[in-house]
Amino acid sequence: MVFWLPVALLIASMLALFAVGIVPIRLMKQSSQDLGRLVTVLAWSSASAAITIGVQVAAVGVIEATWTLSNRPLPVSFKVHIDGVAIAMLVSISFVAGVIARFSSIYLRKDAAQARFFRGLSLTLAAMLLLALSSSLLMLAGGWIATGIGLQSLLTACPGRTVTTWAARKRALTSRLGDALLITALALTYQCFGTVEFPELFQQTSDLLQSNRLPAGTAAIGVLLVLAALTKSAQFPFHSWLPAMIETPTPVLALLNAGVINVGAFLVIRMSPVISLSPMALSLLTLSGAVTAIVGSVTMLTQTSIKRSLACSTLAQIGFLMVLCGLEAYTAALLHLIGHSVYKAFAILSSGSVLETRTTVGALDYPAWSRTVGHGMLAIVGYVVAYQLVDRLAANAIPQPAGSLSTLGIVLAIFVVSWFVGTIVIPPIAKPFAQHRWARAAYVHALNGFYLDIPARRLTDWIYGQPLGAR
Amino acid sequence: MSATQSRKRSLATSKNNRLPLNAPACADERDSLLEQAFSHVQVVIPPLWPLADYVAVNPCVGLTDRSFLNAHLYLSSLRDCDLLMSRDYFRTRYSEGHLTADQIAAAHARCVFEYPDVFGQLPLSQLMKWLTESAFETPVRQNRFRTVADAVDECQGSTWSNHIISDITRHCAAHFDEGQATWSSPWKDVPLYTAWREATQLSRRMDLLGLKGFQSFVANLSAVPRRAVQDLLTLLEVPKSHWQPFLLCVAFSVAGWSSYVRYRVRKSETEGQENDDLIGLLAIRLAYDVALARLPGVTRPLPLWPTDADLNCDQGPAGQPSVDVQARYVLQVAAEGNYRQGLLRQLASSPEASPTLKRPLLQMVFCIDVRSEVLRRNIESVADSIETLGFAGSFGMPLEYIPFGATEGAAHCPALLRPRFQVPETLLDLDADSAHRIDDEHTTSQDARPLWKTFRTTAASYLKIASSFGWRYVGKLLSKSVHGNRHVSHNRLDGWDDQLKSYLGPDLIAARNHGLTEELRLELAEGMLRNLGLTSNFARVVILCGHGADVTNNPYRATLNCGACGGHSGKPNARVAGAILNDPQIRISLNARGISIPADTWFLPALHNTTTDVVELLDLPLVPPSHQSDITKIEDWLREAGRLSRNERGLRMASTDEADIFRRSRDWSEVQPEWGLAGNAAFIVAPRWRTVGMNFGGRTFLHNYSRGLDPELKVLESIMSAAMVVGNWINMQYYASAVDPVAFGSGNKISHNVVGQFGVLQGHGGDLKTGLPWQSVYDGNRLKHEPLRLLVVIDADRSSLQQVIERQKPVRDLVTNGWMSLIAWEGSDFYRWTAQATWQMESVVSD
Repeated sequence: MVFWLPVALLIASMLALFAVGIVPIRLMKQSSQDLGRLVTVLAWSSASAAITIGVQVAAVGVIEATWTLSNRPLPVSFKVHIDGVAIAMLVSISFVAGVIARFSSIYLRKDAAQARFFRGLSLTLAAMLLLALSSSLLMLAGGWIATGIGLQSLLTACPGRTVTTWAARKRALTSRLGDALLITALALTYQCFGTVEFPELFQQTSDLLQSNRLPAGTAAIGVLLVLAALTKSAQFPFHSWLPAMIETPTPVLALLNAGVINVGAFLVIRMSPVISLSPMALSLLTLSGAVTAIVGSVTMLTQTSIKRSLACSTLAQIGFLMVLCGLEAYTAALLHLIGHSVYKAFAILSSGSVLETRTTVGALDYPAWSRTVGHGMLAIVGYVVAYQLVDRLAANAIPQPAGSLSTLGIVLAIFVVSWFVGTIVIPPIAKPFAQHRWARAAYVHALNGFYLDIPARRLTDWIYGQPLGAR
Repeated sequence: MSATQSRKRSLATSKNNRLPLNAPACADERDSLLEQAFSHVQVVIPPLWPLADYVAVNPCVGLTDRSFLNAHLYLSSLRDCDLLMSRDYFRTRYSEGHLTADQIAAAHARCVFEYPDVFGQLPLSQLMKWLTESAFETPVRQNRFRTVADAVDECQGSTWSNHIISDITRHCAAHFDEGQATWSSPWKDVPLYTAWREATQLSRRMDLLGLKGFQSFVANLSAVPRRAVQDLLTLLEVPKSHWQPFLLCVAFSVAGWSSYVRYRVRKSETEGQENDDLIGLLAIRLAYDVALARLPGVTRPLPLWPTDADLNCDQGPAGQPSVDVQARYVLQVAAEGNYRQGLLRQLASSPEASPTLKRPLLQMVFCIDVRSEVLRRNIESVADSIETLGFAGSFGMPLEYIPFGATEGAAHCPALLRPRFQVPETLLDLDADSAHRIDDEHTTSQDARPLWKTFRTTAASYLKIASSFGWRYVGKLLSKSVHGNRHVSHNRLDGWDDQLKSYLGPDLIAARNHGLTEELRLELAEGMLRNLGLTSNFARVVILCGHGADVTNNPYRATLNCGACGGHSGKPNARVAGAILNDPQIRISLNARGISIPADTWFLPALHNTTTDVVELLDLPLVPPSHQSDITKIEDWLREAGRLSRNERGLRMASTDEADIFRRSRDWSEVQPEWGLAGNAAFIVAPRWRTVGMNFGGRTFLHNYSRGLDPELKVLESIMSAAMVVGNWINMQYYASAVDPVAFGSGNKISHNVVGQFGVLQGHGGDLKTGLPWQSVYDGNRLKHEPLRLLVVIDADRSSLQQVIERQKPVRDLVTNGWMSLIAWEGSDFYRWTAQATWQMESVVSD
């Protein structure tokens, strides 16, 4: 027995957000305050509807609904597919967007761009809700492209600065590339499987897995999907647009780092039954995620500005998430996605509090054993509990690996090892070497983000016909 | 050679600054011309304080020996900046009736009188034509000094300036970082230039961007910054006569970093250390430029200096200001005349004889801050028996306050002074055992802090915090969004309840061992009362009311705090001053020096929360029982005065109700918690009875002063050379941030990015930001701070003022060169000090 009211509320909110997102800007310049209130309410109502649906999903597994809009001359219907993966995405993005909308109602109150901002926010959120609710790869691609359009309108909401324009161009290029990759994957999927509807598609993949005879296109589909995800989630080698986004106002930055960045990861988790068929795609995902995680976290250590540190941290976190996906630890990845969203939204919105929260004591003192271990135990217990919850919620949506070791065990082992290496072993070992020649060189390269922004910049300038330097 | 020595040296050689071009530079001797240029740069670049101790600075602090107009011309020949509002602004003021033709005519006459050489050729009719017709277009091409990168960019449409400034920012931020990066620069302990030179030889960025061979170019530079600057100037073939303005132009190309380095140099100087970092920064910036100029594609010679540059650098460009600049200056004078007439009309109604002395029940000493004016007026309106006084908010207590558990603190005194003693914070009213126990616990929890940060930021561990601890941020986000009223907890006092926090206070016993000797206590007590003019007729209760702002998630918090307390709260200063004045021993000694404080007078410290206009009375447990009933009455008055002040503020902030005022102070998404000192326009030095009952709209600094109590003019001299200068710094900071927010302001708050925990960047990179954010002077539709140079009105005779002006060169520069205007208030007459160093009767036109 499914309680349909929350589903209807969610879809109504989404449609309303879409409507706000496409109203001409001149009609709402005067009422940006009311607009802010409206978007906030819609985002909160989506979040609460999604939580209510989540409770039901935990009980029944998957909720599917179809609204037939017309039968003739063309059959047009709207179909949603809500499972644990969709719930995780729906709850996290609408919650974060609600917080950001409320924040911006005051933060941008006196800014000329406020109406534009809310319009962009509305469109982006609606697109991401559509993406999360999608029942087919076609619908997902629609949400995917709409997210890109929404984000673009957010980024250009405050025009006038050349660097912003340049950064927006770089992002737009990456985004178009991602769109192209996803559409190609969509076409190939249809050719290969004859359908892009998720239930049928996933039925076929599980049959294929048992029969052990894979059609020729599956590897290509997996790789294309992974590449598309890498562009959207700012993973190596497509990562350099994200740190360049710091130019944008704080709320846009928060939405980007805590919401939009998850779209690529969502694609991977949603399409995990297909991607899992291709070992090459999984290896690519792991490799790219690992490189991004290392580049991001090492760069982050050297960054001196709060927003840049946070952007590098996003790279590292999403890189880690991609590694989890590459290892087929989808539950852990999903958990990470939610946790990172709320953490990052908070960290970016409160980035003006650096001075209030700083301590008078130096940063890299040798940590006390007892406390490190205490924190570690606490984190592990909390993690196991959360993991079980998410695992239960998403059990029907993601393929369970056939391996003998439990995924949770592997993930925990990685955590524990990295924990001790990270906090206990590295700092005291690294400290005496800080003045060595190689350490100095490494510091300078890390401070420069390993110069990875320069090729991307060259490419963008070349495509848009703008000179980079003197020639 | 220390900076002071070099300055002396450059002074000695300043006479022969017109050396023949291409004079051979002696290898051993430091080039005197270069040294002179360096010290000129040191003087002209204004210091920029770090965010935690942010104090207002006049951005033209080093140019006050020139006239305002000359400084404008000089600066705009060196950088893209403006010290005068645009024609559009004045046009709007004129068309809206804020400026009348009569006022403009009066201002024009005044300008012609004061600067006949400049304004003699500008007929009034031409000025009015300029204002009302669009025929005169502002000149587009700026004929000024520029860096190589600017010249190349203009010529080729490239973005070298951005790349170079970003690279300098990357390096300087890493070098001066105060704890943001976990892996900090390995060259933090060496001078800026040395650090840059080593790091840049390892960095491949500029080479990759197309500045081929930059690494080896840097390797071949001299290791000594002054030598490097000289070599680079020679490579660039800059004529010696251009060195001084060209170097200044180079410094202004990274104005934010120059200013921050200037602050650090200033700090080193007061500590007696040598610091060549500003010269180092010049060498750094020049190195990029010279390497760029040597690229094959760059056509030379580059237009680096104005073609018609007059080379007399001491006086700046000698050319006449354009009609545009002249006209805008006259209109600025007219706008100031408009405000001055209004203020003088109000003051003209002042009583001339002091009222008969009657003992008030309550005296309240406030900071001179313009925000106090509102509360003072309102509290006086609540009850008759209240007298308020205005004094610099540090109450003459130049102290360094060391927070509980810390080993060093911040200076709570004007930036021009150095603290004379330290006051550690402790837990008052607690027995020694409990205090000890809490101290231990606090230390433990503080020890855990860096661990938490290490844990959060170390590469590997950072990854799982999101999964494991991300959940706890759900609650934080919710409470901030739903209530909107949770403070970001101050890590220092994590886990402390309000009860415990209320025990925190200055430890005056410990302070005795940190410089606060018995003699100093007496000296400070006497100095404070005499400078305040409060030596008799003490009330039963004298409240010493410091002030501080209560805002959250705001890097510019210190700009809203007490400037006289070095950008901090005036709370410790009020408490220390109160404790000293309540000390019976001190009172006996004061009596011997002619100040007898009645036995029933109690000095009570308080804190004016400028964001909510709530006055918090401090150290209440120490108040004797005899005064308890007074306290109850006072609390009622303060509540009522606070309510009145909030109503008044509500009109100004377009707030609907009081709850909104309180919300602003606690909301993490608020960018305009209060208006700070926006609107400041005048500084009135007079006894309060001369101004009581007048509504100055929160735009005036009010300082108490009675000429009769100051036979030797000592007090007047200290007010004019200290408080008035601070007023000028604040006023000019607001002025410049409103007039040219790009060059002198810190840009839009919504994309501020705190760097190194000491400064602010606009987004991604670019130069370090100086001045005030756009939101501090602009309300979204119009300027909230009308840019007016400070008007100082002093209730004293002309000859006394003139004596001080002649004694104090900095004061003389400020008042004569048009950085502020000075009016002597004699009885009911006003006399204005002119640029010709004469007094001119200022007639008050009635409405």
